[in-house]
Amino acid sequence: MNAINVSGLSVSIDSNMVLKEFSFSVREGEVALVTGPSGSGKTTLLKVLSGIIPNIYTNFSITGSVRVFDLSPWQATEKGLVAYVPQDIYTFFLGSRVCEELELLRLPPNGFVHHCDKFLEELSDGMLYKFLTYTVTNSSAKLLLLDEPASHLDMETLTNVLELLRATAQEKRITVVVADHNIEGVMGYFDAIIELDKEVERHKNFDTFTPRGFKEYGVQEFNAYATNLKINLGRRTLFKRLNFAVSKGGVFGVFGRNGTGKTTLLKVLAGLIPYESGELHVEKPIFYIPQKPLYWFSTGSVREELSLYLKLFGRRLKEEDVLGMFILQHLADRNPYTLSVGEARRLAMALAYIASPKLLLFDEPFLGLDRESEEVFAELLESVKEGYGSVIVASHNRILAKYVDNYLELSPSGE
Amino acid sequence: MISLSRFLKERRRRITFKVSLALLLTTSLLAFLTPANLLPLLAIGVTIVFIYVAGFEQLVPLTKYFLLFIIPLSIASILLQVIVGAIDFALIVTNFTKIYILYTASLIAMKSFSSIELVSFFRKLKFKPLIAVLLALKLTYYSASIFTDLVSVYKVNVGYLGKKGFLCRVMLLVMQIKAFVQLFTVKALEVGEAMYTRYKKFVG
Repeated sequence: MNAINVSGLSVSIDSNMVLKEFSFSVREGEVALVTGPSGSGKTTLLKVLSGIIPNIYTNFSITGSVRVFDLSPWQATEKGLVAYVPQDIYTFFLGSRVCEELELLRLPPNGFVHHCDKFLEELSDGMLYKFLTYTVTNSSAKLLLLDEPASHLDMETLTNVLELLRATAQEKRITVVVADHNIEGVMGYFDAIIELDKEVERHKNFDTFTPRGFKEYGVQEFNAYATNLKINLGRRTLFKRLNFAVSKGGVFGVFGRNGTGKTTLLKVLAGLIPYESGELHVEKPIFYIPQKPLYWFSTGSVREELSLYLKLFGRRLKEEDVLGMFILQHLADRNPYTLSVGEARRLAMALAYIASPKLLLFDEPFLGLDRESEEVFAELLESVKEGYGSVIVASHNRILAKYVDNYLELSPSGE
Repeated sequence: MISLSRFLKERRRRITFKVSLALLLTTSLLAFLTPANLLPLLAIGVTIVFIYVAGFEQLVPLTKYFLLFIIPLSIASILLQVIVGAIDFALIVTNFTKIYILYTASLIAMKSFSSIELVSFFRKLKFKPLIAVLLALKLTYYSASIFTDLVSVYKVNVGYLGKKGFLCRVMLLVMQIKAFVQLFTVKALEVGEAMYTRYKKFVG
């Protein structure tokens, strides 16, 4: 029996077509992947399957047929058959601690007794997904919709999570739909691949992509260096004697699995977290693109956001040029908070370009980026290097290694 | 030799949900019923219970935050009395002792209540709008973390602009507020989505 039947689905908002004449089906107990470039409608599709669109977000218009367990998506959701996990997985839970969530759902703490008093944010990614699967399988949900889980997970954790989902799907006859992209190497875990494509006018414009801002500073040997740096997080020592140097015009990588302290190191470099001992030198101004929060924009449209930063930093660049450089021209009038993950990251890169910092700190640059956006990222790095600025990227994704001049591999033991 | 703080830390105790609830209600009543000259004794008693549940080292933050909270109130109160033309320091001290007692009793309750017990308690009361309460708690929790994260990002990226002058600082503040409002709305919608898709049949 099919868990999902979609036929001729078209979704639009404010005369913008998000999905057009789209059809697919997923059988019960299957693990399916919905994939496509940034902004192709992956999240929209999941929200349609959960009935959130158009029942909560009523400004979308939908044509075609969507059936979930032979019910309308909203009926299936109201019966508790659908569990939709948003990009920020923590908003899926109403409880703050493990046992609080279990108490809410009236579930016994089987297997989670030792984690009972832990905040959900304190769980490792693997344990968090184990907990998620436990709560879903022990509720009445038969369809689990996961929005971009891969972008936050390193390859080993992702593999473990997909194995867990597959085993659960087969054992409990739960259907799992994952919306994501760029998860090469794990495609074998999926029974069905649903590809979304978007025919949008998106032209890169690198002709005007000159690193003007970065050239304003004089040449120095290093933009950042650390000697015998000791960093603690609470009572835990993350790094005992950390040594590295980032040359002017260099791109430096900080790699490691989830939880090894990459984000903490970036925050120390940004001056947001103090370090215990050692020497740290960082050239300013710094621009920091965090992994969380993904959205930190303050205006009502992409164009206004760019305009604000151009004004703040006194840059004489043309808005249209920046929009073109970062493939944002078709999104110029959209509210930044309605952008997909990849689009929001491109906007963040555009703001960094305008700010022209001496040191750009970029946490998980490939979060939500499709191939086209990766090219934009590569061009941004080149322009920074040419202009004697430096970039430090932190990621669990070793694909980034090809973009860096030097790197630091972090291990869970803090070495 | 064992230090005093370690001694107190090791002897820190957890009081049960029922006791802490009873303590909160009793202290709140006593704060208004006790004669003014006995209020200091009640304040000392509440402070001892606070040390018992939170540890001696938490006394400094307690005092700090209480002073931050009470100083503006004190100034406003004195100004008001100056305008009225009759300064009564005894009244001010009595009122602030009451506020201290209520403030400390609330902190004791917060330290002692576990969220699981709260959920069970609401259930036993058959408190229908539980889901709304939980939603509000979740959003309050999110608001705090979102605001901290946002301030951090703006501090690094555009913070130095604030040093350029008063107008720049105002502009920076407006940016942060606008970003917070937008992000808060998004998070509220996401939590709302979770509420409608998962919790409807479990709570309320």
